[in-house]
Amino acid sequence: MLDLGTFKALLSSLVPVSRTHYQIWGNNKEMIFSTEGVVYKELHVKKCQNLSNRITVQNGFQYSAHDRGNFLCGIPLRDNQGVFAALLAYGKKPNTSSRYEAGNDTEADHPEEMERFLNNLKMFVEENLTAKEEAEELAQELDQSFEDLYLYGKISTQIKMLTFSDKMLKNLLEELLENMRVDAAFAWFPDNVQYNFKVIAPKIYNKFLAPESCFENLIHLIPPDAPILNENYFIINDSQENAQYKALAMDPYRFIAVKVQHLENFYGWLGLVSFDLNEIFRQGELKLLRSLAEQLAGVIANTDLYKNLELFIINMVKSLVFAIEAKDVYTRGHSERVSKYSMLIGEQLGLSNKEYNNLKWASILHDIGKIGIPENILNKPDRLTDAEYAIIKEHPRKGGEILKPMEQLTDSIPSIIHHHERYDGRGYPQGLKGEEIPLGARIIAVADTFDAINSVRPYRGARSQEQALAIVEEVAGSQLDPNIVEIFKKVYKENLIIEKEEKICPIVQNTMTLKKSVAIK
Amino acid sequence: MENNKKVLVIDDEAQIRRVLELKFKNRGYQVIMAKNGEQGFDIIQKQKPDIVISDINMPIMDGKTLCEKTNGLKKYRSFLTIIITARINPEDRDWIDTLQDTLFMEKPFSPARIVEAVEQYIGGQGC
Repeated sequence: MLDLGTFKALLSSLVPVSRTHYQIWGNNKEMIFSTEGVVYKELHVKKCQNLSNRITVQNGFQYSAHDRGNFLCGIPLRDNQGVFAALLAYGKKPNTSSRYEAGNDTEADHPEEMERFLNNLKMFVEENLTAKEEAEELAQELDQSFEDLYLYGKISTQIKMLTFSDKMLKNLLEELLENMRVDAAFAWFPDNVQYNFKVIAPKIYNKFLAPESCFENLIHLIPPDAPILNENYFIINDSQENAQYKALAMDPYRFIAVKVQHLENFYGWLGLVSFDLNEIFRQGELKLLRSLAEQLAGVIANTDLYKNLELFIINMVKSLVFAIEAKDVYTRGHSERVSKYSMLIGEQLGLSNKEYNNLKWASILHDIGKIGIPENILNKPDRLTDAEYAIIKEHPRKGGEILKPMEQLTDSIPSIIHHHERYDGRGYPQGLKGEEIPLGARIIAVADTFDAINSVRPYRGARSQEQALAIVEEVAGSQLDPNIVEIFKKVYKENLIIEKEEKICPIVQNTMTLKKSVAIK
Repeated sequence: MENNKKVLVIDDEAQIRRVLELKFKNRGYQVIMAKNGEQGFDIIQKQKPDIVISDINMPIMDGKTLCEKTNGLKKYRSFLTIIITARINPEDRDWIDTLQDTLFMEKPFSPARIVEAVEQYIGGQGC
């Protein structure tokens, strides 16, 4: 209801000076205000009510004169939706004799005077109310834009995280649900169903006839030729307007969906549902949602690029490994096996994701430095000369140098450089001791030693796995970290013994599993 | 809707004052406004508001000085202070922790959340 406070005060103060009383009547035939307190004659009230009706229906000034100089008149009050009340004035007509003294007025002029007077009053109140209403509306809009700004700020912080993840998407949807005051928020990615998420206010879950597939259905029902699709969104402010949409839920709802799209790549939809039809999706909300969808698409695209890059690097690295292994006939498949053993040890140790990935790279690349060693030294069946051995000993350091320009591998390099250190400090290149040696390097050393003994070497034949394990155990504490050896024994018993009869695992198969594990991540 | 609680909004930005004024008036609060810390402090002493919402960066007297000064008053009369500020650094956060009955909200803030925090505080007082 409009606040008529100051107007009522004005009317009250007019009573003694104008000797007229005032009333305000609402549209539903009830008195909102009277300057005369609460005691009236019933007949008078009836008259006023009738007049206020007439004013509302006729939408104009009404005047009636009664006996003994009494009059009753009134005028409609309007706001932008039309007449909302009637302003009534009544009393005795002014003393005629004094009026004649004042000038040329006649009694017959009274209705006109009253009309002018009431009209001025009415204009005063209407202008006042409109201004107030406009100010209120502006303030509401301001309030809304503050909320939008807040929401936008919160959500863009979520989105700024470099990579796209389930958690980020879930947070995003929860924020949307809470701050946009809707009943459901969802993300629908037809080609990446693992990213499909929905957040639903529990109270509305049963309103959809097929709650499990409702969001899928909402998207599928979007007419492909809807003109607003050119703007990358779709909106239904009342599901009753569309038979198909209406059929999805028991109660009417509104629905908005925006495309998650980056350049030419379409990923899916971001959607909101609300069962509150007193509100609509505002322009501001649409803008916000579209901009969020755009940012989200950007993040997904970056993540895709990142994944592609990672895959590219993996393949690069593999070709490097193949290149060195092609030179050294005796070590074919060695790097893949060392990597496999190292990974098993790493899993057993419960390495973090990051440590595990670093170990993955370091173990597969640990011998990359051999690329610079002449083949005749690598494949020499006789004992190496000191000079030749010195060249061999260069390979961990060289490996580090080769990989240095690859930023993604920075954290793997220490494990490559130090994989020939010994636990007792008598290894190379730096003679690090015990825990000084990076953990990754200590793991690779165990895997490397085991596989070297277990494989054919230019100067000897291959030993059995049992023999190899026995030797590894023997050098635990001197050459190798005894804790890692213990873990390797466990890993060997649980995983490797089964494969004992198998020949060297084919590289291709390993490649496949590696690819897969990356793609899932 | 009427309640007898007084809210003082101190901010040099008119639109922030306006938005909070509307928000609290609509919920029956009496709203008083000030454009800087000095005006604000004067009002706090004379009109004893129940809730003070203040910006940090303001001319004449900033929100920090104001909070330091009003924190002393809280020994005698408790009221809630909500600091609204664009960026909060860890030192400021620690500083706010040392103040009695003081919260902060980062700008851009949600007017609805400020109302929520105020009503939670008032509810907690058992009023």
